[in-house]
Amino acid sequence: MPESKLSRWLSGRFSKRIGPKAPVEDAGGGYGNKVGGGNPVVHGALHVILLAAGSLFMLPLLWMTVTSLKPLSQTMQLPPTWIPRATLAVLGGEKLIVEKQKQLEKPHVIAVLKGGHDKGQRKLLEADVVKDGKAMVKYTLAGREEYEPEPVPVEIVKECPAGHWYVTQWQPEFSAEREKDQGEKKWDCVAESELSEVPHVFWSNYAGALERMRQKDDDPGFFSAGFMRCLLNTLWVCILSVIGVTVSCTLVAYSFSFLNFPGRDVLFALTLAVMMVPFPATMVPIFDVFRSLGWVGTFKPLWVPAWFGGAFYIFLLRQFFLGLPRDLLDAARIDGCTELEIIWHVIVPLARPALAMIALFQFLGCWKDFMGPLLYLTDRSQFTLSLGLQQFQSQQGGTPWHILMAASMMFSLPLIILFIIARKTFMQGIAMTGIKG
Amino acid sequence: MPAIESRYKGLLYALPWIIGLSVFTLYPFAASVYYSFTDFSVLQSPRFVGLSNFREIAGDEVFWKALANTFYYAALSIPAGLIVSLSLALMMNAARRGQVLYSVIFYLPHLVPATVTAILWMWMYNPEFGLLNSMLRPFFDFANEVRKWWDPSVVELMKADPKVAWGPPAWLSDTTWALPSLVFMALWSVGQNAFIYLAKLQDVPQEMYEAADIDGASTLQKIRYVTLPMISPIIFFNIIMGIIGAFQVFTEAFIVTKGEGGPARATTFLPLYIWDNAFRYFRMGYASAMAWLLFLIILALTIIAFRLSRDRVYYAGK
Repeated sequence: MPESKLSRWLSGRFSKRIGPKAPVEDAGGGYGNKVGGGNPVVHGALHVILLAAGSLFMLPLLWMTVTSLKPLSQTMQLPPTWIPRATLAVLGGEKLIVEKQKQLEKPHVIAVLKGGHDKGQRKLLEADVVKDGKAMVKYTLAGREEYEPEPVPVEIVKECPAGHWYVTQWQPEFSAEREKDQGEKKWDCVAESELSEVPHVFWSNYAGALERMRQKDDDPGFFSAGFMRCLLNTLWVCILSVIGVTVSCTLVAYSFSFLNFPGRDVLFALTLAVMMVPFPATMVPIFDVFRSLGWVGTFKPLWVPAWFGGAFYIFLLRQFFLGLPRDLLDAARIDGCTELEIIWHVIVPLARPALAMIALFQFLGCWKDFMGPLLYLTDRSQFTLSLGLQQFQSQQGGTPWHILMAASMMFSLPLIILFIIARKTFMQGIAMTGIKG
Repeated sequence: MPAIESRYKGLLYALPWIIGLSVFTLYPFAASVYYSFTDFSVLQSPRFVGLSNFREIAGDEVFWKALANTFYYAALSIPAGLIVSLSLALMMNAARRGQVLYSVIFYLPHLVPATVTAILWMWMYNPEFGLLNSMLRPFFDFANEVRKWWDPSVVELMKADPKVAWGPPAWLSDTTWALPSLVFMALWSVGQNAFIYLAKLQDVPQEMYEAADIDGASTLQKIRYVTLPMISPIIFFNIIMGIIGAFQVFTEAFIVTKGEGGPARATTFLPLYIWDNAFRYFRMGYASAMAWLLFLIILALTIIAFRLSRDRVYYAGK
């Protein structure tokens, strides 16, 4: 029987160090195909189903990627397209990327105003508004649109029959402030045939996402508000909590595995039992504890608890430690090592894979956490990515999907990259969490 | 002397956890029992009110709606999750090649943070421009054409009122579909369980299949009488975790509904309603009482699951 790829993969570098207790070591044996037989037709059908299911699972991720690289107008195109494209048109003698604003239902004209408040400006007017070279036009005063008191003389410079497109010059997504500085957008109305489409990747959405998650009164520094600020906050909280969990759980699991103290077994049983307690049941009093400590509105509620251990990690580490050779510990004791020295020089090197695993899981959990930040963070400058993204989404009413998807990509990619780098630790960790069953 | 020293040492090393367990779990757990009998907001200290919170819960329509939603969600998501992840694992196990690739593909969605999952699926479910409805619309258009051909009187009706024409649902903003949409969204992240099953499937001894082959068992029989019993402990474990998880679902529902609980409270789950009471209306005593009921429900379901599993879960060598 040929050894399956998965088991070879699992019984790689990591599991050799894992010791006799680890389940993955058992996976070292030969595994072939047990169910389904050797029938090539059945086999082919299996792969077809798996590939179909796989594509279905990948579809949302692909859609997220594609949307994040489209211009806004294309996100609202029906039927949807899978290739981000730029629409090109000649505006003012220059070939530019444009956004299709609307297709004209009635004939229009482009006219230059010869009087009124906006004298000298080009306007797109409905053709039947212009009579005897004059037209009723609107002008904007202090943000409000008003009609000119009487018809304004106009000069028609271009006829736009129905079916033409009103297009504006495309500009990268930036904050409202930046947009103002960029001045008037070029615009025109052009026939369908004058527009051309080329595949084009709008990386600028990512820059736009970095910028748009900030608000007017935010500090203008690149790292002091918006996405980057949230990223730094997330990293800070997660690094502190990962260090905390690794250090505290190592000490506690060591004590549970190798030291005797009164009440140890009761405490361990309790540790297993509390894994069952749902978070909503303790949410209110924990909040009250942090409130009376004055920690609401700080990062402390998000990382300090990690320094006091976690039930599941302690359980996993204890399982792992018990599988380590005791002789090494005894030898170290005879050599006069203190417990801390034993932990540092014997346990940590041997348990590195298990420690990497709990660090990874804690990082993952912390990065994804939404409820914690929602409970304890009050100030925008402290938001973590998950909270910042949710706030941005709910303020925007969910319309700038291209920017939302770009921000979502930037939020998810670190985890996917981490997964690719530490794939084995991940997969073995997951396989190991099943030990309890 | 050394014995006593090591006694203290053990306690000393376990101290972080003893503190952590007491401060972040045991005390809050006990305190929430007390709070559930009090009237308590952040601004004023708890005032004992006896059973009045529970009496109020009994008459609280939203609570019952939230409870029903939570049960409905669990009843849909736990079996569906089990079926999808188990069949993926069985297929991956039987497919000789590409196991690594497949497991990575199915696992990737699980890595995506819940915030992103929620926002991404809001976009997928968007009634107008979402991918899902764009893919479904042609089928509905076709059905409408057939309908017009079948019954020409419909044509006029459709012109008068576009709602007469069949179309895909509005998913998250449709009272009937909002909750199943969330279940479907949760299914997307089921890859982790599929991987756990796969790892366990590979631990099933080869000899058992060989023995079954000699007895002339078919593939389905092998799955039914060899594979499933052998991995039943982990299935059972995942069902328990599924129960605990389904009764705590919060983040996705919160984000998708912007904390409002969906159209006509269609996706107000119990944790969401507890949250609202505790941190929006500051009725922390009332919230604690509901949280305790939630805990008791989870406990009861877990005990029932253990009872039911007694004859159905096979523990090798135990």
